[in-house]
Amino acid sequence: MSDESHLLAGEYVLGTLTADERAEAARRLQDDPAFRAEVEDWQRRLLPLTASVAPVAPAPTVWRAVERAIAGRPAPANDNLGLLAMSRARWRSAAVALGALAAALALFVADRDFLRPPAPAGASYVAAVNRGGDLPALIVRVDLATHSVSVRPVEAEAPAGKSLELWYVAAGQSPKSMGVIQQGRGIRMAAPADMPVKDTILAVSVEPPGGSPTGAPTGPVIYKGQLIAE
Amino acid sequence: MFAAAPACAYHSWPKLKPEDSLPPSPSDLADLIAASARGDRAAFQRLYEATAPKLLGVILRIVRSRAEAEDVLQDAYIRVWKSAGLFSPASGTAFGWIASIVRNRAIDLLRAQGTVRRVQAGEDEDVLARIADTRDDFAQAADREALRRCLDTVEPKVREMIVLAYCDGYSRDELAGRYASPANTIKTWLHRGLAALRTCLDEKT
Repeated sequence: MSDESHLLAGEYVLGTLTADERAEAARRLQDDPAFRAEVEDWQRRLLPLTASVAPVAPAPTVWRAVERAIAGRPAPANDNLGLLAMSRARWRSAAVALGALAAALALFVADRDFLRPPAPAGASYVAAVNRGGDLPALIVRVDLATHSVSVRPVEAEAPAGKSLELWYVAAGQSPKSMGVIQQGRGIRMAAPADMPVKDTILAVSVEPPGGSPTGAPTGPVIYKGQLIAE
Repeated sequence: MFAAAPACAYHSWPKLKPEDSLPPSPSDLADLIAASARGDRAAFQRLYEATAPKLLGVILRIVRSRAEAEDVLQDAYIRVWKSAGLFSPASGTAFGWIASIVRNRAIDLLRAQGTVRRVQAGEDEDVLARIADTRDDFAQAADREALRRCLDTVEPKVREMIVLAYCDGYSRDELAGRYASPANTIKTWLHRGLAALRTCLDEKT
């Protein structure tokens, strides 16, 4: 790692970067593990400066607001960065949060395709695979009539030297690969024969070039979304 | 002995008595984060109670308004809950992980507001002695001692800048005002100080 990266990490932790520089550093934290490690080192090095700070009791309203905000979530959604190996229950809770947005996007997709002949009712499913709150990274359409899957990247970007791999996670099952996503290129493939559509979640993980060597996700999950009927 | 420099000392809000805030051991906190990641809200509440008062003190140094500080605290703990599954003991202590989330929220807020506070030379305290002596402390004793020694090797003016930036959230522009120097010069000084600090700390750890 260069001196420049060390100093950027140091200034990030000090807090002296400008808003733009901070945003850039925050982006780098997500996909540059060496930079992340350097930031963690600076956090550890400088933490003792807080030693002399005297505690101040927060108003009871603060905890009550936190409690309200976390109520009703069976488990943390992990900021969309957890591993696919996490339990099915957690996947479901993350998917619920994306439900409203995905529904809105499905409408948008349906509208764009207004001029195409309509598929038989219930035969077509779509997922907007996204990072919570952002624009969708991929729109995945599963067409049961033609038994095909099409993947249209909108914004998916692989970190340098890595591949993005698409997975589906059916209820109660472990993730199954649907292939590596070519940057900026749509793909069309036959739907995996045993792929259920009800309650199925699609996710994208960061993998070594060419895809996961193990057949299971090895890197962080950066995007995910649930298949819903179009 | 060590030269004087400003400390992350806290001075204008009511203080808790020390017995109200005995820090739990680092492994207790790590266990509470792990339980929170499994959805255990009671564990998360204990984590909050053990760490939030100390961190509100940290935030109040940076944002200076009680209402903003409590908003930052609230947002940060919601984030801690959501990302509890991402905590890895290999990357640092549990308290350090939460403190980073909290400080980042506070500084993000300051930088988003974009205001440049006018800052004056203030009450200087002996930060090095305080780092060494304090017992009300979540930091590891060895890290504390190493930082104390290494800050002492940085030239006093630059050491003061580093402490003001970390503890009080001073931006380069604010430091430029305080030291009557261009922001680029401040950046150069900060880089020099950080590089010296890193070299020294890496030798000692």
